[in-house]
Amino acid sequence: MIKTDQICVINALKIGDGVEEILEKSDSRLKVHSIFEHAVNLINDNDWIITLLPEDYSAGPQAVILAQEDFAKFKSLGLGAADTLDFNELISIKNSQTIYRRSGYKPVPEDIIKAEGNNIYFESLLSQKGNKNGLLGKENIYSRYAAPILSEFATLFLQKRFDEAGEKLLGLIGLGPGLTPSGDDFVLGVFAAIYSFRMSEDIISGLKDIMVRKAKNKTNIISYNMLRQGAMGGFIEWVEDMADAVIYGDPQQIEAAFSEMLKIGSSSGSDISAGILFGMTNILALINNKEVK
Amino acid sequence: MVSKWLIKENSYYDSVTLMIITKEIEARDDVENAVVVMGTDLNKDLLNNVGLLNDEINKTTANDLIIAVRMKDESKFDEILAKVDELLNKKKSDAGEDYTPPTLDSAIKYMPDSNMVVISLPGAYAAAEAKKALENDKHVMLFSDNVTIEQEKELKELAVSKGLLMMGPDCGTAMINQVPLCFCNKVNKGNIGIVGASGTGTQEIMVQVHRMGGGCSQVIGTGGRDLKKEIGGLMMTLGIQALANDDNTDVIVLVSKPPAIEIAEKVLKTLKECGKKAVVDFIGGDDELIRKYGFIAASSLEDAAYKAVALAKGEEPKDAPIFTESEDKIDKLAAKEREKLASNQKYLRGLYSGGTLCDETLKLFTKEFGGIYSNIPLTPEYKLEDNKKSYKHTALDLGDDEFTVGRPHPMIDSYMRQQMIVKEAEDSEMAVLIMDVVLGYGSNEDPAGSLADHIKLAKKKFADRGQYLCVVAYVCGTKADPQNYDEQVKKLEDAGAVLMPSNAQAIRFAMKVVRGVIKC
Repeated sequence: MIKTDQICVINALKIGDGVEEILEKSDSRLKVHSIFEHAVNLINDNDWIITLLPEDYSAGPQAVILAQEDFAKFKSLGLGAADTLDFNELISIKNSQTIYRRSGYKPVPEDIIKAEGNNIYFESLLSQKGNKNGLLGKENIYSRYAAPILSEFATLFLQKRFDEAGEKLLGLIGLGPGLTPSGDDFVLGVFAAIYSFRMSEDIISGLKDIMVRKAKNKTNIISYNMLRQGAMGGFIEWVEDMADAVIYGDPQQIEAAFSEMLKIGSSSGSDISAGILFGMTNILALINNKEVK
Repeated sequence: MVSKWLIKENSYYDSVTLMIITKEIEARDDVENAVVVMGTDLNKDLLNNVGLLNDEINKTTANDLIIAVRMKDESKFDEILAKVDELLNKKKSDAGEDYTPPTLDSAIKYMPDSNMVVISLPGAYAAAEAKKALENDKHVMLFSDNVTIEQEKELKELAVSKGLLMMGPDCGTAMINQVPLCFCNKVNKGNIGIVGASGTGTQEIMVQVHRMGGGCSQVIGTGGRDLKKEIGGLMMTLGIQALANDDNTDVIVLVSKPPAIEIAEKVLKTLKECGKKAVVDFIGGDDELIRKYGFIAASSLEDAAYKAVALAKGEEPKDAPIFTESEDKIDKLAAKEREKLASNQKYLRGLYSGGTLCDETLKLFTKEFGGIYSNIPLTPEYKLEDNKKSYKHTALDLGDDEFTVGRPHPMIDSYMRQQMIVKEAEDSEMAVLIMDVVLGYGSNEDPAGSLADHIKLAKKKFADRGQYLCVVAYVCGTKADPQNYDEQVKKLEDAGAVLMPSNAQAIRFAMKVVRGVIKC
């Protein structure tokens, strides 16, 4: 256990709406899971992760955003993987702003024609500017592996066999390069599209259940935390902005949101975007009862 | 071929680092295949498919990092391991071919030896990124506008304290060590260095220098507000000092809108101290002050280029000719255009993509006719009530903020100018339509082609009313520019435009046409 009696408590600027629950469940005792240049992951006994980030990063449901100097101060403690700490002794979330997930209060999209036009624009933007090292690439081993799975998902989704479609998505978990494998990023994007489009609970519940129960052993713990939150409608703000821009925005908003997405990881932002595009395309096909090609 | 692998248990590295490692290994000639992934079941399946799975890799978990390689020479794997260790520990890499870093931090990490950052972001984010770049000892070109003057001052003071260039905000044109940045023409290499506070003004000088057989060594942009009192010409003075220290620069050209007198004196004093020959174009500003410091004043952008080329060749600088062609020939051409106009056609309308080219038109026209309305007027009484509605003689800068909200600059996207051409054609009192077409890197791939049909349509509208529309155009570009200068000129000529070889000559010709149809 780290001795924290010499350290001034750091005040968090913002927290995601899932942070308090994780702290309550673990009695605020967490282990250091992994340390990156711009992120520190803390984990509880149930494998829930809280991610500390400096202030220029987008907040997700399990994120705690610190001022730049406070983030640097935290890292200067010299913590290492598996060190244990009492979160509340180091960081105060009392006066922080809580960032709530938006899926609960989005309007149901009415202008489907606009969303279709935006989706075409988004596709063109993604093909021009997206990073093609992951699933977005046409000729790499990962995208070749994923192609038949996506095709089967599209068929099942259009036939409203949502649970079976969810099982297909499970076939992408753990696929590809990156700390969060490309397939995981892609699936997260599909969920972002589904939640942003306010799809009905019967569609969401089956997919969510499959993802929460079955994805854990298919990927690493960091990526699973991201997926589990996504399955429950929790995303970092940039992802929500991207999906919302495609549904409700205009080309300028789509471009602005996409430029933020490209800041996520190496190919993660592009892979999540590809998932949003794929999800949107299938949802629009479902609404229009058309086959996706 | 042999397969080699490295497993790092419970190890997490950010995706950028993993991608850089992949590229680094794949770039080696002796490597046939490299996979850097977390040990998930699916990834192990894929490794099996490509023949890289073995018992040890098969035992990994989704929380382990796998680096698997198929290569020609087993003994070289140690080199790869050393490189991987270096990348994982130092997080340092060389530039790859197809990786676009998504953030400034990752770009700096990816190319640690880079020395300049070009920033084009919404203004709200631009200043913070510029500051970060300067703090990392990088020169900055800040294309973005909407940065406050207080932020600009802070950034430029930081840059000066570190001896770094902070070009901008709102800096559209530069060429450093022959590398064109943002909007920039391809010109000859030469011994003329330019420090410019105006984008298209700088481009016009570069283009004219090139056409006159001269060439440019460096082109340093400052952003349009640099010579305001609040900034004090910080970057123009640093730019002058940089050119003073540049062995390839013999002649310096300064171009900007007229600065405050004390700032002009500060800049000219710095120029004096640097000891190189110089031409100064404070467009429409105080020529006497320039001469007082012993420098040559220019009467137009073309004139600045003309005099700079003479100095660069060691010749006595003279005024640029009013027209490249004989005045007699120009008069005849103007008369021919004028004769076709109906009696009620009397007004000039300018639709510019370049702000400084528009400004030069305003100044030359005002000198002859007393005034012209604009969205960027020389004096407040000539400010248009509605900037999208011309009144009497009018010249518009379509690159000004209100025309570019939610749209790219008109040098990139002709949509607004296309609409304005058609709109102006509804006014039967218009006699001459004048416009610029700016070529070079960053500009539209086919600007003339994008305007030609609309010019034809406007002319047809006049013809349908039994009238004639005189269209005068200037192509600011060189034959080395990527758009194909000759084709661009031909497209405008085929649309019925009269082409002139400089912005100044274009407006002078337009005035000759208008002068004959109105009482001055």
